[in-house]
Parts: sequence; C-alpha cells; structure tokens
Amino acid sequence: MPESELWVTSIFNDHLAGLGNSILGLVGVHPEPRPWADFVVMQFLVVLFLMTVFALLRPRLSVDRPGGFQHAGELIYDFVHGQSEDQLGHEGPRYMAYFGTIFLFILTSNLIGLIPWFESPTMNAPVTLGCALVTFVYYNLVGIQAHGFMYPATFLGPKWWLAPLMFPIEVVSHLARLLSLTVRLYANMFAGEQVTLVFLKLTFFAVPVVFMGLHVFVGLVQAYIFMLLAMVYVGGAVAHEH
Amino acid sequence: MARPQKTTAARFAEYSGLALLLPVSTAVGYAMGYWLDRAFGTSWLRILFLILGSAAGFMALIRQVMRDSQDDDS
Repeated sequence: MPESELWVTSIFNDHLAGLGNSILGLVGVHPEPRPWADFVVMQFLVVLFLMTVFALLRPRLSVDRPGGFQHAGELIYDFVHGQSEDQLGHEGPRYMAYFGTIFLFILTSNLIGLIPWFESPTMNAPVTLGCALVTFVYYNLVGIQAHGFMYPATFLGPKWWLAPLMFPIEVVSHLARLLSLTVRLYANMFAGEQVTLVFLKLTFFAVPVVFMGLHVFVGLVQAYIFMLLAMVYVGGAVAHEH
Repeated sequence: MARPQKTTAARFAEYSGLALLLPVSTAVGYAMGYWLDRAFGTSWLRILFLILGSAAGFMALIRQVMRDSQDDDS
C-alpha cells in the first residue's frame, strides 16, 4: 500500500482495480496498477453516507411523533426552502432538489475531512470542477427551459448594436463563473487543510484545534456560498429583465 | 418573473467572489482565445479575447455594483 493512499482507497485499489481501469478505459485513460484516487473513493463514501442517512430517515417520518432525526432533516429542508424562496421568489422551491443536493454533498464533503483517516474530496480541484460543471449545465438548462430557444438572446444585452460586443463578453463571464466556483471552493478547502497541517507539525497542543474549528466554519460557509451562488445563477437564467 | 430583492447573505456570497472576478474573467478570456487560435490556426484571437475577458470582468463588477446600489435606493 503506497504511504500517501488512504486505507479506504487501498481497499478499492486492492480489490476493484479492474473495474477502475475499465471505467478509465471508457474515457481513454491508460490502465494503471492503482487506478482509484483518494478523492474519488471519498466521494463514493460521501454519497453512500448521504444515501444511508436518507434511507434511515425516510421510514421514520411521522407527523404525530417527529423524532430528533426528523427535526434535523426538517431544519435543513426549511433552510434550503427559505433560501431558494428568498433568491428566486415563489418559483424557488421548483429548483430546490438541486440546491439541496449540492448543498448536502459539498457540506458533507467539506466536513468528512475532519474525521481521522479520511480527507475532504473538495480539496481536490477535479471534484470542485465537477460540482461547478454540474451547476453550470443545470442553470443553463433551466434558462433554456424558461426562455426556450430565445435563451441565447439574453446574452445579447439591451441594445442591438452592442450585441456583437456583448455576446462574447457574456460568454466569457459565464465561463468565468465556472472557474470562480471551482477555485473558490477548492482553494478555501485546500488552504484550510494546509493551515491545520502546518500547525499540527508545530505542536499537538490546543493550537491546531482552533484551526480545525476555523476549517469547520469555512466548510460550512463555502457549502452555503456554493448553494447560494447556484441559486443566484438560476435566478439570473430564469429572470425576465424589465 | 421579476428579480427579487437580494438578501444580505446573497450579497455576501456574491461579494466573496468579486476578488476572483477580474483575474478569472481575464484568464478565461485568454484560454478561450488560445483555444480558438489553435482551432483556426491564427495567433491574434488570444489577445482579442484577453481584452474581452478583462472587459467582461469589469462589466460584471460594474453591473453588480450598479444593481446593488439600485436595490439600496428602492
């Protein structure tokens, strides 16, 4: 087992290397002896964790006797519901499934790194790029759904004679959203982890706890910001300018 | 649907990205130009798109500030 590999990744690499290589082969990557990367396996774990939570939560839902678990679930639901209504008005809850999913996925990914022997998948740029790409595709699809084939016309600006200039500028600014979503989440999580590691190398006494606390806070805020920006972008895509 | 009033939280989220906006737009503009140059075999599109990228960054910045100051007035 290579030293840098997480124990859970080594299980995948020891037993499922063939499967990993056949998936990589589909996208034209040459087979490797240990194809599974830490961040891929950690994403599987995050998804598995979330699915387990919801599988456990679903049969326990009760109107008469809501338990603590249900209350926690309702708290998160109300939070995402309220935020989507704040950003998008009464149409907000229509898109809530996506916002809730991306919020919970990023939040869990950010916080799972605090458990020893695990690491946050979001401190790897490919993972945050994946989240940003899905968001990018989603809000553009929602825009097409709202405007039909006239959606690209929203890139042309208010004056027709400015359109040849506005169109490339708008395209660049939409693609810049993709990069800024990626970099913001990745850089924050990576930096938080590095700061904690640096202080852990200096001392094991008390000080690193402060930075771990900061890391938890940053993880929460970044998941929230990512969800909120997804809402803002969806809001921009479905809005009819007056 | 009219654009709803932005909450403080949404502004916080958007402003957190303003520092990234200018460099990211410029980089994306250059990358697009570079890619188009390779596709068409030219060498000047990267400069054009670099300029367009920085213009896009400035425009997004100014547009956001103007929109938010309108929200404050209303």
